[in-house]
Amino acid sequence: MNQASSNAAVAVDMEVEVLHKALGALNRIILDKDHQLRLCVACLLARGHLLIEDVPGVGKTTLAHALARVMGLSYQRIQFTSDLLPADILGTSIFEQDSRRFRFHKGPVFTQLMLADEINRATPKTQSALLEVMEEHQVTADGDTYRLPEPFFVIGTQNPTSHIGTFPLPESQLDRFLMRISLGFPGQLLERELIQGNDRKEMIAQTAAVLAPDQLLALQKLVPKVHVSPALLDYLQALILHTRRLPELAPGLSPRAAIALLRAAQAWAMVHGETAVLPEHLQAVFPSVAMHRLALTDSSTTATDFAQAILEAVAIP
Amino acid sequence: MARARQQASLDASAIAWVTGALCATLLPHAPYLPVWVLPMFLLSAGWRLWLARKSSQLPSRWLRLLLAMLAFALVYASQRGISGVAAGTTLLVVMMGLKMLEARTRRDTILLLVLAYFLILAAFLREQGPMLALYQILATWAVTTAMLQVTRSGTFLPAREAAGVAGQLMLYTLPVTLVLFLLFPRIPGPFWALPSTSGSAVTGLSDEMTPGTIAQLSQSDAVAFRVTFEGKAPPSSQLYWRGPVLEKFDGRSWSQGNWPSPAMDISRIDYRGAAIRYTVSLVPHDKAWLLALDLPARPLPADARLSRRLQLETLKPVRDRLVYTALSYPDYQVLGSLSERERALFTFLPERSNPRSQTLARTMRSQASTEQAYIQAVLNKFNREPYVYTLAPKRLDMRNPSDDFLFNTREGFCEFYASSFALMMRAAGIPSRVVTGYQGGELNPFGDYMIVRQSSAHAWVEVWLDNRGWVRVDPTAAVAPERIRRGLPDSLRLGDPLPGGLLRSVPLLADMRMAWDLANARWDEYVLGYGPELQMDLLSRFGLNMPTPLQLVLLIMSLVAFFLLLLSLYLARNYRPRISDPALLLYRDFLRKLEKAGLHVAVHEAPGDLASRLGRLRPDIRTQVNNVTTNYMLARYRKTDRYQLALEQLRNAVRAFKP
Repeated sequence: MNQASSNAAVAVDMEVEVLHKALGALNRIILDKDHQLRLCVACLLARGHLLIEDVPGVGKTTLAHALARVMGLSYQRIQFTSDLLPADILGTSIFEQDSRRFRFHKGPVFTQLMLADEINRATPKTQSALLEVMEEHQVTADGDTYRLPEPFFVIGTQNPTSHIGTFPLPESQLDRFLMRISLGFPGQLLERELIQGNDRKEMIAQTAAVLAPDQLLALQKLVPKVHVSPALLDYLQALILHTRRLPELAPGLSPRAAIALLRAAQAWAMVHGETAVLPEHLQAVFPSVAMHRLALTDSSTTATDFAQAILEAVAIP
Repeated sequence: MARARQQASLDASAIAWVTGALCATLLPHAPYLPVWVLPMFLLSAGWRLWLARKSSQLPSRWLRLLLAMLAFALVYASQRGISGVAAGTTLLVVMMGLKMLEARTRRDTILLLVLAYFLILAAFLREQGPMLALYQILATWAVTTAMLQVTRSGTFLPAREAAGVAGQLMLYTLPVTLVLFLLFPRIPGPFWALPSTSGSAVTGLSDEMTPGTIAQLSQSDAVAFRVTFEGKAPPSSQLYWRGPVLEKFDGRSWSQGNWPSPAMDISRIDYRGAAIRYTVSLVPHDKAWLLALDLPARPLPADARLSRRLQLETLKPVRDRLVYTALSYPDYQVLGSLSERERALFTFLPERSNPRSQTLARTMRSQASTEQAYIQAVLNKFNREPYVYTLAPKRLDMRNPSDDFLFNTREGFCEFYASSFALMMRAAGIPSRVVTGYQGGELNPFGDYMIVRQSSAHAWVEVWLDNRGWVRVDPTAAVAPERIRRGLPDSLRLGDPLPGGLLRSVPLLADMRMAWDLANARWDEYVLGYGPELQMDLLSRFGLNMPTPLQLVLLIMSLVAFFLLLLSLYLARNYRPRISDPALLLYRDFLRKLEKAGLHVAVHEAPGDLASRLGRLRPDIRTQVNNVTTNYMLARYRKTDRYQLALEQLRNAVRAFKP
């Protein structure tokens, strides 16, 4: 155990370089969004899926495409619409004249990084088909099971839920996404650079892959080995318990959410080249991991403010 | 959301807890309530419980209103009103039962339990014995446990655990309870005027005696008073406790007579021999006299006087437990002579009553040479002829009871003999009167004091002899000498009902009875009897002489504050999450140093974030802070083989740290 984890520490030290390079490349394309990019990478490392909630035009698609490119992942994009059917994502069985048999044609989901754009425009039926695949990492059709390529990473985007013609994801399905982030507008100075600068699509095309899928898989396997001290678990539990005591957040965070928090914090620590999870790591991922799992009854406060309030209310033990 | 949860209907276990607690508080009231009250309470509680089990709707408002009005009418009719202890508790119990039927929220259960506390208090309006006090402590415990359960957010604790917590809470209140008991300013007399408990007569002697009065009283095992002697207790034959003196005879019964009885001129009494000094603790008997050994001398107990009847009288009936010290001389003589009027009074007999007795008396008097010889002859008659001493005599013909007793039944209790003897004295022209009181007493081996029970009630006779004053003659001694020498139980006829029964005859039980009496006596003395005198006595021992009520209140407030402070310190020490990691303790020292230097740290600020913030804020201490933080994170969060080293470095870094 000890030997294995010190090996892991060495491996992390080596791979940290790679991750830094990857983040550097991403930062050149997406400006002024270092924190969100780190969250993206952490989410990918923790084998979770990412939900980006924001208004159109802030670079959601660009982010997904750039990430796929930098991480060396195959990339598919599906634009969700209200008439999209599950088969449009998963694939269909088609009768082939030559062989006189049904043959399964794999849908766009058979990729390593899939961008599900405007996920809340699709009907619940299609949404749940996607979410099932996200959980199982496999597609079953006509009795046959087809495994998805590994790593498999879904970035879902959605417009803020109040928009017309949307089917908001229910809380139980939001739970399938490890994190929910929003990008927001860039700062004045960098926005100017963005406007003046090169076309992002060209930049992406010119960017070389920093990682190979094998390397990414290896890194993913190291995440659960990042050290977690009893003191940190105390803090994690104190945070969870606090959400359960707040009447505005009933019923509070579930044990599954607690595990998600821990994995995300471990990945975050790794992104920052740490061999152990520190309280600040937990704090950094808490708003993105926890808030979409909590039903805020009071709509006047934003999730971010609330997350900050929770963090500030719980003393680090 | 929180509000919705609070409004949710009560579950069966909450109702069960409340019902249980209420039943515990009802128990002491049960014997005093009308018979229909308890079944009605249990019925409505049971109904409510059943509804809770089935999660059914509660009865409608109209039904509840109807039931409440019906119950009120029933209480009003059966108690003839709603004021007084009995009616008040009845109404309260009935309405609590009905309140169960509309208990819907947590607030309702809290209300019911607060009422239960009130019921606990109300029981002391009737009785204040140590047994009840003990029981009420248990009842308070039960109610507190129930209160704890129904006010909990979340699920109920296991019963044992809840009872433990409630017990702990009660223990915490103990010092404050004691402070309030000992120091709350006492006023003389009862704290408030207790409404009289109607109908329940106090057992004890009365100012009238007919055959059967004392025999009936002797059936009671109740304590009349307790005595502590200074020095050794006198022999049983001297233990004549003088009570009401009855001077008027109407042929059937003796009474005090309604003529005035001025104070005795004490200089007419020649006290002789050794005095007996003793302290009496008198159980309230609602009569305006005190009991004292024959015959009390000065100094008389406070507020008492010795009347011409040689009876210790008070101005007001004794309604509270009374403790007094008295001095008595068993040997005394009343000097002087009777006036003509007095002689007429003490020899008065209704002419036509008991003719045979009167004739017999005159015959015997003419045969005797002196008054003394006559007295002896009458005593001899009781002694030699087959007269029987019994608690259960045959009924007398009440037209001439003395005739019937002397010539036919020839069996009776002390008042039969006293009455007939006094009659025969009067018929022979010797002034005489009946004295009632108590004879004897049991020494309590545990407490070195004497218990005098109602069963020791006695009647004897005093005759006036011209050169000897009033002389006590006890005809019972002639019939049953054991009664005087050894007490009632040994002197009764076989088969007579005996007060105390088994309790007297089995040694272990007899011991327990004595020990229990001691407990009662001490309770009376120190708890119920804790009045202004004892309080001042206690306070003067602590150097506080005669404090004003204001001083007392200030003392109470400061002591209560002191105990609360002590308690909160104790609780704070106990409930602070235990820190087992020395690294954290060291880090806390570091944080304290920062605070002292005016650098505020939020509770949620992570060590790394804090270090970088301080680095920007105070570049001069950046290295020190980083040193502390690195070692702290190493010891507390990182996986390390060199924990001890990290701890040592942290300790040094924190010690050296000077912001």
